[in-house]
Amino acid sequence: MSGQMLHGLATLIVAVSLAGTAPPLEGKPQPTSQSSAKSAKKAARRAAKSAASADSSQPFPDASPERVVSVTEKVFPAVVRLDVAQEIYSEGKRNLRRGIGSGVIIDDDGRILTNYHVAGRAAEIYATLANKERVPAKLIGDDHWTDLAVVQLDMETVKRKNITFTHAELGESRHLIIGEHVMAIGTPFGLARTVTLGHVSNNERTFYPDRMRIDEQETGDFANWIQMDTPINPGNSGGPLVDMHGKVVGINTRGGGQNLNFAIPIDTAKPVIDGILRSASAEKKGRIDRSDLGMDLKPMQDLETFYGIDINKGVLINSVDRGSPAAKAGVKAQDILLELNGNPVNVRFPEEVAPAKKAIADLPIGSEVHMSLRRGHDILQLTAKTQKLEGAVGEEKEMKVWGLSVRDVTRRYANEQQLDDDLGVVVTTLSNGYPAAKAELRSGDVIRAVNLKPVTDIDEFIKLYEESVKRKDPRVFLQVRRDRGQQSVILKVNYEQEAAEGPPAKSPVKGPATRASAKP
Amino acid sequence: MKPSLLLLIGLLTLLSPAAGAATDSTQAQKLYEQVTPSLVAVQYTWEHELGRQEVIGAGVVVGEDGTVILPLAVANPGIPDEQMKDFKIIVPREDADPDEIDATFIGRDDRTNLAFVRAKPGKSSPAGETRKWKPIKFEDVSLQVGDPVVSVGVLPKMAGYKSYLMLANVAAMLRGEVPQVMVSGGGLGVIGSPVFNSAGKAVGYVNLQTAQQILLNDRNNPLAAVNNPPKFFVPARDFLQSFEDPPVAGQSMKLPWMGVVQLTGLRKEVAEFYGLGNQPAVQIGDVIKNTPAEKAGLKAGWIIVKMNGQPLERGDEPEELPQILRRKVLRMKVGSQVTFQILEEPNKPLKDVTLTLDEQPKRPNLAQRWYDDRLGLGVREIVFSDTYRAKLPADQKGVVVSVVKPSSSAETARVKMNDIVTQMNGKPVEDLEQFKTDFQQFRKEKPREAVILEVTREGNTQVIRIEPPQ
Repeated sequence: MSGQMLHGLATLIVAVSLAGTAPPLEGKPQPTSQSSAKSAKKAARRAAKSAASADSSQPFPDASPERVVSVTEKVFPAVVRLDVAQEIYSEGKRNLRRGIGSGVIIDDDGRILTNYHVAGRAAEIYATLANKERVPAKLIGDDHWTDLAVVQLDMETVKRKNITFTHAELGESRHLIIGEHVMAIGTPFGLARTVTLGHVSNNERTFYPDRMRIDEQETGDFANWIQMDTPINPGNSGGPLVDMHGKVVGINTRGGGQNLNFAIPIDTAKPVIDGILRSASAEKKGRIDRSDLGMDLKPMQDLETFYGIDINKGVLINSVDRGSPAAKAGVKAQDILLELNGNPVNVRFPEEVAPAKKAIADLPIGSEVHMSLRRGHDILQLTAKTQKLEGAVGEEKEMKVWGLSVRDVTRRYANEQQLDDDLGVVVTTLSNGYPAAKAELRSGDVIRAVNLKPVTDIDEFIKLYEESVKRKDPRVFLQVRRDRGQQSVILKVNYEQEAAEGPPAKSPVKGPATRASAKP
Repeated sequence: MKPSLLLLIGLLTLLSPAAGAATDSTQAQKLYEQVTPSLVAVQYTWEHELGRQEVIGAGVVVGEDGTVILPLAVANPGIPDEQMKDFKIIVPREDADPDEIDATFIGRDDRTNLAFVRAKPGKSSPAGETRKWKPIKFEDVSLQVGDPVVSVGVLPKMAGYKSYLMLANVAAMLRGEVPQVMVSGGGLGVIGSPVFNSAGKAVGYVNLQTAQQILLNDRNNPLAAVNNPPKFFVPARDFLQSFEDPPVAGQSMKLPWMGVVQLTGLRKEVAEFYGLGNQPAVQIGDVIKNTPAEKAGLKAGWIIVKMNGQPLERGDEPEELPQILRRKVLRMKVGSQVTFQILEEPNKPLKDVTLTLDEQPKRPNLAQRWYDDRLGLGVREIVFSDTYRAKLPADQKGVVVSVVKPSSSAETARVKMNDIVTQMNGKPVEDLEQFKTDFQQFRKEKPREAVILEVTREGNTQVIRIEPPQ
């Protein structure tokens, strides 16, 4: 099976494609008589309720028809459809990408848990509740590393319209047993309030050594996945995976087709929710900060004999990033990390990589870490100071007048691209016909200076850009790094032309009347 | 000048056809008959680690000793010399199957994009008589737009390498990185065909161009060059140097370099910003350590305005300037001096920098190689281009992965092409010889044990365990 196949995000049906793919909804079966249908429903509910209460002591109750109905009734009012416009940069501009996903309400204050790839970087969110009411919502914070985001329902609208909702109860994913029944609720292909049923196929799925990305951003480094055969499809993303007690055990995230689907364990999500809510404020989005030592870990499996290590002890250092805390502390590739602050780190199998990475990520940022390592036959004690974890994708902005979008060069990006340092901004996209494209700037170029003033980071670049536009510089001199070489680029900016593309200026007819008919 | 070339000139004087328009059908016919015996095919076997491939391209006889030129692309510089085996010159015949004559690979000339082979001396025909080669002599003759030109090519293997005539007219003279003459009308013969003017002089050569077939044994679309004939040829002046100073068998050509890379031609706006007006100029992107450029004090970001007192040659586009400059330097001798007029910063006074050309570092195709079939892993000597690409010091030790056999142990272990192997079983890799000896020793002692490699890939290390097939 190809690893690639498993990695398709389950979300985001783009609005355009929805119209074409959604099956027709007309032709619903009509109840023969309203009253008989009602009484049948009532009876079923009673049966379901008794089923749910009787089995609450069982660790993994059967998915009897009654229980499936009772779980559905319990969770349904907490599941929402999310219509999201995400901020993306393309053709040198900030654009919005519309998509549909799912989410689950997690408290009485109207907070919704969903995927980063559904609602992260959202500029606009609408939540449709189980009772079909549509409520505006706002992004509280997001975390691409775990592919999670927390969204706030607009409670004023809720109050004003007197809308009711309930929240789902969060369970414990560590108690999941392979083979037990789990249900997914969500909005596959935009079909809101869809319930599906399946089993836990595996509760510690890893894709190691493959690395996953969401729009270039790293994800899935710090946790294994729940694998289930519960059908999910694009649009299910962000919706809850629930056990037969009706508790949320996971967030449906990836679909592999052929009944291979993956959810983020709720135990992974809980500290992320807390962290996002704790760090969020009215001005700033909530986020999770993690620690980094700048080393890549590899399972010891089958290498113990070579390195002369007891089975199940330590983790192999596969690689050490240049200039990272680990490199500064003197850690080398092929060292074996045995202990971190006195706690053993054992990675024999690929499934153990994510927990070990999480142990490093959870260390306080800037703290001293004592590492016990083995190199050849020696045991070394080294101390490193953690630094804040950065992704490869830096903050992105558009420079409208120049017709390009740029990203901050992060440490990790610099390391991946083997740049000398993390100074400058990297060109991501270009608008055709605008100065940057005309000057043949390319995606991937690192801009190091504007008019001979050095660009340290994106904030400095924005400042230099805004000053230049304000001055109406007809020529802007950029010093650029492309591959391993230096280049000089001149942007020729025609401010009249850029202005002309804005709203048409009021122009009273001054000349002779014939002018009015002159061709543009 | 070599005696063979003197003879060649004598011979050609005798052959020289009557002047007149080549469009005249009798003239064209005459030229076709005269040129046909000089047209051959060159065949060799590319014997690489994973199999063999037969390569056939068009050849032109240029020496009485059976020296033949072929387009550089046919003897692709990416192919290691030691893997090109069993060279044959195929001489088509009207009355019988083509003659196959054993030949030696002489070498490639990167200055002119030509490769050379030569017939082995001795009995070259079944009857035992000495073969009489009919060389073509290329001449630097100026051409004008509108001039009629004739080229004669050879058809692919499936058509018995029969020669064919193409009539065209000069449509434009292009000043690209390699000067090219564009033609209209019927187009030109296949890549590797000589081009003649109306006086019957060999004035150019059809060499590599985009969207053109280079092999005569391409099974997928054998008649591509007939259905979509080439429209560009290289004027003789660009490659005559190859005949004055040809490659020598068994020696790689000593080519010069400066050690400046990542050159860019300045666009007009940038040149104006630097106060250079409408002057062609090239910016230095990077200067490599311990090279003539570094020793002479050249720095990245500096701009070259003149070379040996002359303004730089103009291309049709600024992007072509660096390539034109690079080719100009390539045509000079190792040890000779070049003086550049340099601009360090906008509107600063120009200054002269003189450097002495050094020999180019070894290229990957000349690196020693070794292949272990059991693991499906091939490695070769590390050369300059490897360390430069990987941003490693030029004296980095190790070997470079050159072959990963599909579905092999090496592929399963996720070894990748161009990985630089720095350690094997915990011991630093010094060079190919040591790697090979150590590996064979290890295999002998522990035939079933996995080998542990530390490799450098994209700036990071990877520890790789290759399990041999049990």
